[in-house]
Amino acid sequence: MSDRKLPRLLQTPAVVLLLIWMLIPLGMTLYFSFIRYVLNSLRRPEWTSPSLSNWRGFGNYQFVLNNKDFLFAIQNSLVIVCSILFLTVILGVLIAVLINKSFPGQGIVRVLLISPFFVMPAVNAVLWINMILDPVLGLQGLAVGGINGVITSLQNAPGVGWFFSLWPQLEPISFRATQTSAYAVIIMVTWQWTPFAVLIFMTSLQSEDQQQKEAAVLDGASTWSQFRFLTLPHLSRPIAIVVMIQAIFHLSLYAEIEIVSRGNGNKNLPYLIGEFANNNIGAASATGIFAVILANIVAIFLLRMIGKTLME
Amino acid sequence: MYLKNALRAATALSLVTATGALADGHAKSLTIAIVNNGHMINMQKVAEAYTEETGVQLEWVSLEEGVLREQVTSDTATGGGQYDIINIGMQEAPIWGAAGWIEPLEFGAEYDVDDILPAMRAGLSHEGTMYAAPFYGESSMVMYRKDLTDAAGVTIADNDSWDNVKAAAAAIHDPDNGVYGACLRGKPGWGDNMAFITTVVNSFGGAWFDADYKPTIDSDEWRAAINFYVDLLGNYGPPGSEGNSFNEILALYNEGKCGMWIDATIAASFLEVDGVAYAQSPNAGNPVGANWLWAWAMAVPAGTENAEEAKAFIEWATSKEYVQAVADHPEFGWAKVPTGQRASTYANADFQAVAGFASAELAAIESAAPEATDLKPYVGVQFAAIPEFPEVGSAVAQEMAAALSGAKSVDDAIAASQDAADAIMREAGYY
Repeated sequence: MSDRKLPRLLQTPAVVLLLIWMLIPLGMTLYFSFIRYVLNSLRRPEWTSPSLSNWRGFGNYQFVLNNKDFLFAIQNSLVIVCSILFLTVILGVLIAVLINKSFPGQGIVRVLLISPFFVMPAVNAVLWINMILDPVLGLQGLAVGGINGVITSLQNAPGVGWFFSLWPQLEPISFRATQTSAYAVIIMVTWQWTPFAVLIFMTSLQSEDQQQKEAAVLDGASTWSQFRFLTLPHLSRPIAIVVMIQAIFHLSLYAEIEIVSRGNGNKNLPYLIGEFANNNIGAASATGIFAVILANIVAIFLLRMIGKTLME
Repeated sequence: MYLKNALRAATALSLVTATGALADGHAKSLTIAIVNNGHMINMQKVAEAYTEETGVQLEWVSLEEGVLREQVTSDTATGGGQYDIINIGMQEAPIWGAAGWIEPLEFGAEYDVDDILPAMRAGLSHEGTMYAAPFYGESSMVMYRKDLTDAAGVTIADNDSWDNVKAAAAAIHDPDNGVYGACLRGKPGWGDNMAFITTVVNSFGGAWFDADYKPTIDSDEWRAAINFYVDLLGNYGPPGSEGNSFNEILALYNEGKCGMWIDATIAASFLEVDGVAYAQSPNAGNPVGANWLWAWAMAVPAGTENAEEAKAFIEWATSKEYVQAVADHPEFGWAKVPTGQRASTYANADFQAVAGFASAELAAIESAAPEATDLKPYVGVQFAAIPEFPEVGSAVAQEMAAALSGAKSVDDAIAASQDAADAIMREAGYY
């Protein structure tokens, strides 16, 4: 036996296990996506068990493509992921730079900043939509009601009443509506994931070259130039990592969408799969394959981007 | 088959070693999947007496409605055999019975099957055989604040016309003081907004499908009903109605924000506001009636090995004795008994004394007709008892929520609903 054969032989069980681990679910999904398979049917009981005789070719894919929400779901997936990435990276960098300086109570502030990350997604959604964003009983509703009350009382006040009578009454926004539910999801997920970005950027900032900074100060560089030409380049690698990890996580958002709007005006591919999986396993599997393709496209772009940053 | 048995044996063995339940060789254990609402949670305590009496151990798996439905559907469809008893509703019972997923239920004379309200039995049966026993049942009715209607000088009668209801809602609508005329469901979901919307459509004479199971959502009846619904809720409902279902509206009502609410009769027992009056659901003249019919029921999946014990437990849990046991239980009493399933409960004087809504609830349930008729060729009142309905219902539900929040016109929402429903029914091989 040559030198390289033994290590390879010893690796085989792990590699085989890994292949089985990945390939069996993927293979089953592929198989189901090409056959007629529903959990229950009164008209066609033969479709209720997975069998090759129910072969359908690309029929499931066609059905999914013709679904009125399919393109919208892909588009919405990307809108949600990109918005969250954009917001968390910007907020994360700003907050990390701000709290990197030492100030009294730093420890407590850092713990408080990071705590949203430990809230479970479903709890996060319930909390935001019912207690903060609700237009009647939530913080938003109470605040809008309060402001309107103040305006009304000022309108009746002598002297300044004419001025305030020009002010409009505020209307609370319903964040479960078709037009706004995606914003609610973006707000709550951004709130939850900004701490993650802050955490990574903060760690990275601590390794920033202080001598270089001092030299810049001596040369009379402004705070902005220091940030622009020293801190930001230093953060490019952690930014790439935050973007990649978050993109993977947010492509599979589910709990927030379910709790905020039940897919009304706001759904992504996982949510669409969930809707099909009620009965039509074939269509759900076909959507699953589409989701795998989408995730791979996103991953290729991200890996290129990150590969570049890491090579530099 | 061998593998399945081996797996089962291994699981059983590990369970036995873990719990030591096989000590006397007779102790049986039943795994029961229940929905996590009040009556079922109470059952876990009341059933301790059952375990004492019979020695049957009960393992409860309590899940949220949607999760339970998903779990139970996949487990039952694939013959997983995880549960011995499952909670299912009226939508599932007749279909699953027809598919042979759940076992037919036949109980002894003492069970008094004729005591179960006929509408409940009809909704849980397939071709005359009962497949699930009702644990509690409900219909819908109007609940409104008498103080507000009196102050506004309007009245709401039983089976009032929708126009009168709208006029009453307009009269008590006072958003500046935080009171909204009508609180109705708007949250998308076949069991959420569609439960209410379907009853409105029924009362306008519309139906989900025609005799060939072609969707009839683009009919004039639907259009009239949806226009009415969007108009009523959009003008006289609380802001954010597209996010409200039962629990949200209950919270609003108890905060004093709702003048009128049309929803499940079970709500009446949770209302903490004084001076609530009840009326039978409004109607636009359709004999089918305008109130829904629902039951949470218990069934035995065909895969279980403990079918006999499971049936015996269901016989107990849906019997008159169970109702009595809840009433006698030190923690509960007559105000907490499950209702809507048996005539004898409503005949009980102690129950009538604590439940002001009893007669209205019974009347609503008795007037609901789940059977297929010429007007609607499917079983079910606020849903159709076919396997594809949840998919159709959710798709339409989202369109209706879009119409309510103004993102789409009613006509566009109806056209999109019809197309989506048509695609799903075609896909399912109906035509």
